[in-house]
Amino acid sequence: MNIPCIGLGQRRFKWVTNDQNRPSDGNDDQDDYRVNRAWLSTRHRSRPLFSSDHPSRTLSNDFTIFLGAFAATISPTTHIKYQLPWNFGDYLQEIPCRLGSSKALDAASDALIAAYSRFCCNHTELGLEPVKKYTAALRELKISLDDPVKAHSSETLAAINLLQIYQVRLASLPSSRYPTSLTGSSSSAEHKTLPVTQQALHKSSRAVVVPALRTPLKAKSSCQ
Amino acid sequence: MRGPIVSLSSSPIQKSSTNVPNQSKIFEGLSNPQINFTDQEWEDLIEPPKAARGTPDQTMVYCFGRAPYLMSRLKAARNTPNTPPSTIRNLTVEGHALRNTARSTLEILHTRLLNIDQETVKHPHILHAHYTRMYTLGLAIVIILNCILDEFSDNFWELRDESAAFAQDIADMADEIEPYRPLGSAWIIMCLSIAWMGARDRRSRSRIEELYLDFLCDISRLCGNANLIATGSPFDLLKKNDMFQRFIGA
Repeated sequence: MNIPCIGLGQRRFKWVTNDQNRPSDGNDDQDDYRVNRAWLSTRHRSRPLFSSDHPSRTLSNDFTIFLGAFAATISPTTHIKYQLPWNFGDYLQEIPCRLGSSKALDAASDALIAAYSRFCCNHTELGLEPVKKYTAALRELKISLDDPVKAHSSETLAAINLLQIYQVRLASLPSSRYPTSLTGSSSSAEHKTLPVTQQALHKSSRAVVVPALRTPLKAKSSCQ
Repeated sequence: MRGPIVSLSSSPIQKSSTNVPNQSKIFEGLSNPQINFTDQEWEDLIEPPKAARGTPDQTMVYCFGRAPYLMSRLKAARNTPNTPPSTIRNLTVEGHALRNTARSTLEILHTRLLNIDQETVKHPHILHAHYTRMYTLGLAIVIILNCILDEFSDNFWELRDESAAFAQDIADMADEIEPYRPLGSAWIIMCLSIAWMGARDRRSRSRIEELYLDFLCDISRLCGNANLIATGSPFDLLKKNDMFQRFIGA
């Protein structure tokens, strides 16, 4: 036929598919197929972490887990019976991208997640963990309010709003005992009954937060 | 690991201007004498997102946003000796114009609520929840404006009758929002406290008080019902407001 033979005597390789359910057609390849199945089952037992035949798992650490928990907490797909953005404002959806940039906001978010999960589980008591996180959040907020730059940031204001959601709606703390984003008590008699962190917050919130609300906040447009 | 930060041209409060939390801040401005914002400052705070501009929701929030400053100026005029009658007259005219705007917007909100097309709308329950919320808040806002104008109006009995009817409507709305409990109905607590002011007879007020405590249980359950009385409700704050005392009949 005058056709030149190419690859005569050279070793030949075949591509093997991963289709384990391939029907047997009774041809000569059947034995090879059985061998390949055996090899595949062995391979499955010792599959590496990042195999090409399954989607790889996303790398995670404490921060990404926290981020995921907050995103789940404010998910707009939740029924409005329990949905936070519908009840407290769409600005909540802009908070996840700011997490990690402010300790006050992180701590307030953490406290909100803890209280919200208990609220949704129909617990009748607030529990120790949300209270501890709330205390930590107040401490971080006080530090931010003491800093003249941080006090006027959107993150600090968002932290105050998150704590207000925690206080008024989820934990329902007595209104005479919590600082709000708009007010700060000047009554010294009232201060005596408050925890130290809240006393400081009461004093500073009127002086710092209200001017912060009066002043337009700087826009942030850069990616971080 | 952070994603892109969305440009925030306004504060978080501004981003939620048509939402209840923002209205609760205005409400706080009415009941807390330590908050003294001018009209412009309230306007800055409640500036709506572009999508909400020109909507009846925004008009209603705008009317509500002007209430605290109007109230503080009327109060100052009343308490200052030798205030020229023209000053009070001008403020009253301004207040009535505001009230009339809110009243006509309320009609729009009511019509909108009654005409939800259940078949063509994708999520009718969300629309119903939002329209119910805005209409009920609208009722509460008109009651507030009626309260403010009561002392300075010749036709105060009309205002009181209207407020009493609106108070009943707010109480009726509490049944409508049963499917949205516990968190999706939390806004009614604020409206019920205002409805209590608008109600004229003991029976209506008892009904509103019962509803108020019932809804308060939804959000106070983490603290237990025993603490309900200690929560310092908006009731107490409003009762202490001397501008509203004549209206309440205290």
